[in-house]
Amino acid sequence: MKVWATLLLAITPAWATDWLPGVELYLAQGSDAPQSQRFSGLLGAEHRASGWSLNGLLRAEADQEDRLEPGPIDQQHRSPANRRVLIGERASAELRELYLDHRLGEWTLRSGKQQIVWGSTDGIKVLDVVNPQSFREYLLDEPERSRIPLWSLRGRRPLGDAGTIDWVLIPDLSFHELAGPDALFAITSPLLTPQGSLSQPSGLQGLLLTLSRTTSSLPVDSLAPAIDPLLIALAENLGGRLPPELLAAFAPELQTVTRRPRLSASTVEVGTRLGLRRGRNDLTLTLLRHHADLPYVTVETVDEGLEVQLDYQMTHTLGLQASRSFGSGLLRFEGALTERAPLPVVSLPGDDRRTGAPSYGVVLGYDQLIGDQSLLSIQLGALGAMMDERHIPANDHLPLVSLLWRDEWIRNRLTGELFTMATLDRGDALIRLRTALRLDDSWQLRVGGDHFLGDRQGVFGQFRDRERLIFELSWTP
Amino acid sequence: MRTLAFLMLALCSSFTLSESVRAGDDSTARALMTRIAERDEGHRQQAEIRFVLTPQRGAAQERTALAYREQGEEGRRLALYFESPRSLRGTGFLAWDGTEATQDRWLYLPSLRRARRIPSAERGAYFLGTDLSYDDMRLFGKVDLQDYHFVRAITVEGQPNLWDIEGRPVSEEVAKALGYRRAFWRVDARQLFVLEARLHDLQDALLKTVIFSELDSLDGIVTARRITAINHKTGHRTELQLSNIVNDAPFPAERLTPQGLEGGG
Repeated sequence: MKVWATLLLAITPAWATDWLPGVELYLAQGSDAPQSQRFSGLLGAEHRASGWSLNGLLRAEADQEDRLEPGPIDQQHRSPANRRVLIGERASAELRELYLDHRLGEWTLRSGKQQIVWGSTDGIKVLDVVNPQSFREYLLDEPERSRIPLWSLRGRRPLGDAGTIDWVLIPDLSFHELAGPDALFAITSPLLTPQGSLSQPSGLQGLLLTLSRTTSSLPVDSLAPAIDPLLIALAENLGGRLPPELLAAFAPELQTVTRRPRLSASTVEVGTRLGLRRGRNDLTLTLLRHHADLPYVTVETVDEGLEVQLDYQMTHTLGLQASRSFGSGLLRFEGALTERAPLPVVSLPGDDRRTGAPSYGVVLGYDQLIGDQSLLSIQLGALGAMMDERHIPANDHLPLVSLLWRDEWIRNRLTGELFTMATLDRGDALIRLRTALRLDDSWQLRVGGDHFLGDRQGVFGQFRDRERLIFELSWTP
Repeated sequence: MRTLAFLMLALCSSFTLSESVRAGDDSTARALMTRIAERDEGHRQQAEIRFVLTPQRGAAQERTALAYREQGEEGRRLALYFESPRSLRGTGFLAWDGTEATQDRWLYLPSLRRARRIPSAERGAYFLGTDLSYDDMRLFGKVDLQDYHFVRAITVEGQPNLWDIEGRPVSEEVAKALGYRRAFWRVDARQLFVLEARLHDLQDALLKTVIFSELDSLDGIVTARRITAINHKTGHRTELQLSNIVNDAPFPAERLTPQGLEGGG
């Protein structure tokens, strides 16, 4: 309530404030049934004064189908100050932005709820890690919508023409939002994360089903408090191990406990970025002290039996970006090394193997402008973890390639974009097509489609039956 | 009398610039275009620009933007911050044009939340859906002396201050880069301003006409408040209306940097 009151107070002097309302109607139609029928209302406000400005954006939306976030919405991954206001199970309202821009000497400051984008890749997230992301539509939603804004303070100071220096201070400890186990885009690929099956009530059951994709048998004794004694007796005849899917069938629903870090001087996230420019070359160095946005997943023995625990832990990321333009072409590189990040594994009781490892992400991209408006961009990248025998085995390398083509026609009124991303080792892929027609200065129609290829274990193939067509009509005065 | 004075001026200029007159140039034409190219534009300018884009059929579309321009030793910098319509609000475009090594472009789209360096478009490419090319926007009524032979200059009958000048790209490569085979300029020798440019495509057919009107002298700097570009092939028309022009007043240096595009500058 305090946040809403602040917004209202901030935008009260309407004589100097630009009001920016908007309405969006969005339909995602799957091959079998509607996936999402969303109605969104937006209210933006911008107040400019000499030396400072204030921006706010409020978004309310209702999804008639309720397949993206079915059932009660869990917001444990968000800090209390960052949560959506839920209106039943199908509607919510969220303060997407509320920030003050002002100057302090040489520094330009932005304070408030905002998005901070330090990455510059398309689709493959390497350094765009300051804000967490909502995966309720996996990678299909627009980055602007899927990024979770954070209450934060950002400062920037130019270094003449040579570049800039930035810093951020983030007391808002919010993390990635994963689709629940019954959601349309629940993540099930063992290459990514087991947590998708853990968000909501299925607990151990979902976890075991996830493990069944990579493990043929599990030691029963570690799960004994939660397993039927009959099964334990059965397992004794099988060397103490049983297939995880069998265990899952008899597993009780366990409570999942999210252990959120408490806000303190040691848990506040901080970062700095130094951007240097010389002629056609850009070089940016980034250093972030932040929480990994995915939790470590452990099954712990507690008094009542077993408990699935999700822990968010602090880590450090070092990043490097470099680019050089060649006439109508641009070559760019982005790389990040994270001190320790959670692996897509679950630690069971008695298992002392490591569940986190140093991780890396690298992308080499080339953008080529063709003619007046056409842009062709190709990226080669890899995400991975540096593991050894001390770690619980997990996928340690994900090579990716992406292709983006963007064009404009009818004096920018019609735009088209085709984006495809594929794994180089498994060959599964995502194909995303979007066209947008600006009917006039207020109305815009977007039509597109998403298609997944590959096997169900893959990062894209897991959604092979989730292809869809989308239609969106938006109005802004 | 004024014509005579101008001719003397032109002759003096052509004498002092004799080393830079290219073979095939008409010395009077080059002298006049040189003086226009060297016209004082001030160091900085900021203005509000209203774009009206009118197709041959259909409704016109309007955009408004805040424009910042700076002429430095390393070349010209231009930034546009779009204010309306809502779908474009917050979009920023920045161009640094100087020597070959410092031609850079950045685009900021609110949906991306970052200023991204973009490959430089061809100089003759159309600028953000208008009928003006990137070069037209860069030069804003001036002509790059390196690009053309100025082959003819004749006075307009009955209007001694007005001259018609014909130019041709110095090479096939330049012609392709500009997208023009020939250009005809009507210039005001008194105000040293191009009033109209008629530009022919590579097939030498009339491609577009750009008209600079409502000339105004502010702080001793002549500025066209209205620029109209008509594409004769498509029937599309672009009109730029400049208002609230401020010359040589300080504005935050970040306005002309990629980081400034991201706001807060």
